[in-house]
Amino acid sequence: MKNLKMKAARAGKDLSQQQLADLCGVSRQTINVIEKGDYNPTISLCIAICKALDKTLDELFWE
Amino acid sequence: MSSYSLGVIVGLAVTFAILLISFFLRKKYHAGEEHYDERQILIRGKGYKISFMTVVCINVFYSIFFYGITKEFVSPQFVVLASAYIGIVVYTLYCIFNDAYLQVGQKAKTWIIVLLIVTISNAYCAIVSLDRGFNDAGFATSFSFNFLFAVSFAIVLVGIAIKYLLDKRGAADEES
Repeated sequence: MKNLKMKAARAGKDLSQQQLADLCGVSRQTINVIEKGDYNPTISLCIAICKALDKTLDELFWE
Repeated sequence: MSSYSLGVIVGLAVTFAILLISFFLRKKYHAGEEHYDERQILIRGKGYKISFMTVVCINVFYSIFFYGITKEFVSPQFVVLASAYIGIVVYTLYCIFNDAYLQVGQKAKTWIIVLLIVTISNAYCAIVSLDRGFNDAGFATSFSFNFLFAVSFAIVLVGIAIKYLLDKRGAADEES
């Protein structure tokens, strides 16, 4: 299932996938597949994404 | 010692020295800059599994069905190395098409240049020693090795090119 919340949060901060990937230390493709719902990130990556987007885990990853 | 053997030994020594020096320089000045992220590590693990099974299957098929009919013109020594190389190519292509070949922050251009040099130099050596064939009294010839290396690296280059085109076409992949 697509992670639209993450995509919206990223767009809200005016970040591209590449910029978010750089902030989290992962590849752009990894951010892309997380947003598409094709990959479940580990908790450490979820936390890195949340910190980069100034959101909580609940806000981005809780259904 | 013949000039050919001396050339091979000197070539290997120089290559080893260059690799060693670049390894230490890289470790000193670029430590931690490039790495695989968690998804890429998973993909690479799956790639290892697939390439391992590929090599096992090739060896089983060769030993059961093809050894007898091919041993006269293709050295078993070559087939063993070729099966390993096919495994490497399968693994590399799997990683390329799943975006797990290049590390985070790594430039594709550098690798393409390296692969091009290796492919062209091996293709040249293979063309020069074309008359040696694949088998010389049961042993693999230098032609067969150069041919194998040139073909496998060329396949990897084609894989990179196809992936590049696919990524370009599917710019829809990228976002907002």
